[in-house]
Amino acid sequence: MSTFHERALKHAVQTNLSVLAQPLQEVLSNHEKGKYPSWLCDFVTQKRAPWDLYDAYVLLAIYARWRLGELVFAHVELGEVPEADAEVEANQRLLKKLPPPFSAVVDRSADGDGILTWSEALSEFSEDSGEQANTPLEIGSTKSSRTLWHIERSQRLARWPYGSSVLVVTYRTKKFESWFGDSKEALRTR
Amino acid sequence: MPQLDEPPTGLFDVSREPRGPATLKEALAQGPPTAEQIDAAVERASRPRRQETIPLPPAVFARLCPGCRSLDGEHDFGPTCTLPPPEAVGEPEAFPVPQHLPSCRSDGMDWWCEPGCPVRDALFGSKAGSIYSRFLSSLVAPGTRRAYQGDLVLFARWLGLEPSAATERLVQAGWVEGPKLVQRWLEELRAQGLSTSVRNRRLAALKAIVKFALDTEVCTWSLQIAGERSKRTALSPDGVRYAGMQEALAHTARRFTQEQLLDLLQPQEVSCLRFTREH
Repeated sequence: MSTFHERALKHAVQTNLSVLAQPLQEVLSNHEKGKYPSWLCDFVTQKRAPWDLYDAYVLLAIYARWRLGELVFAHVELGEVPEADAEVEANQRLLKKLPPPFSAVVDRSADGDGILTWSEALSEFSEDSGEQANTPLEIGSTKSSRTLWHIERSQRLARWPYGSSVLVVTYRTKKFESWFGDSKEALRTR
Repeated sequence: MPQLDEPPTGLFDVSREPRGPATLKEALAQGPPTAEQIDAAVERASRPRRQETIPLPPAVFARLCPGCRSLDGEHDFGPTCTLPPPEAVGEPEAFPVPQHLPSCRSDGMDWWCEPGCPVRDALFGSKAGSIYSRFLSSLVAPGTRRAYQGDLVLFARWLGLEPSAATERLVQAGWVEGPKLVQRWLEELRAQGLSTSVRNRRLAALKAIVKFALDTEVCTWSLQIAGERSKRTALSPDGVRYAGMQEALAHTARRFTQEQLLDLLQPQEVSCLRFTREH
């Protein structure tokens, strides 16, 4: 039984295959050759099965936004790898070692496995002007459709994949228009 | 050799009756038997001896006629035989061979029988008339049974028939007329302003009973009418409209052309901010 966002992702890809077929084939080929950084692939999804078209589409969507400067990635060194996402207390204990200005609450009843909060703007590109901001936190393996849904909806996401001692945070940049105006003009939307 | 002082081994009478000398020495000591002893021995010998009976399996007894003590097929039909003599039985009654109705059609091999055809009833049983009750009794869930029963009663009321007769009419309508009948029923429901979900459930009741008739070989068709899609927008667990979610996830695909995507996906070194304890 697929989840709600999995079905939505399948529908989105299948109805646009005329545009996506060749790019997705290219993404899958690049992924098999290891041309994309492993932390980015783990950010998209962690799964034992080989990647499919839908995983490739999510990577393409995130990668394209990063290339356009719409998304920024941040690596938050934690020095600890996560326990199973059901181990709420253990993960909460490990996340206390987060460097400032980050803090996290593991709460599986929340939208995701928890919430990552930062108390000041992460960079001058950040949309957050010095105010406290937070993002859904996904611990361990997750589905690519869920990753893309978080990004499309809240424009930010924190991932702490299994085996990783680094939290990867992505968020939308503020000065897109001025910094990447030329790129945007070059990539005129359809 | 057995010793004279010891009783002989082997077969010997195990009854408790008084008996003669057990050994030759005793016989010589007793002398010749008296007349009373001889009479008693004759009387003992005339009495039936105790016999060991071996119980036979019941099947063997069952095949034995208790009257003539014959096995099956070997009765002597004598005065003690339990079977009546063959002449008293007479000729066996001829089995009534069912005949097709004049309106039934055949191509020489297969038959297309009309409702109520004796041949069809003999082969498959007269099922059509009771399909309604048998269908309802086949439903395990009481809620489903109650809902389907209500839907079938309404369908029958629309036809102006009893539920069992309405079911019979639907099932016997065939794969051409049956769907037309149901479509008219659905149009009537739509005209009444009933919602899509209610119409779909009433359609499901009719589809279920026709499928039941097909499964029980009462008819040879099934109702292939798809239910209508509900116009109510589905919501995700977090309250987002499903259509909106599809739209959002398709954002990348609709935003760029194929050439732009091919350009954007070229692997480059991904720069990122780093936050550490020493940051």
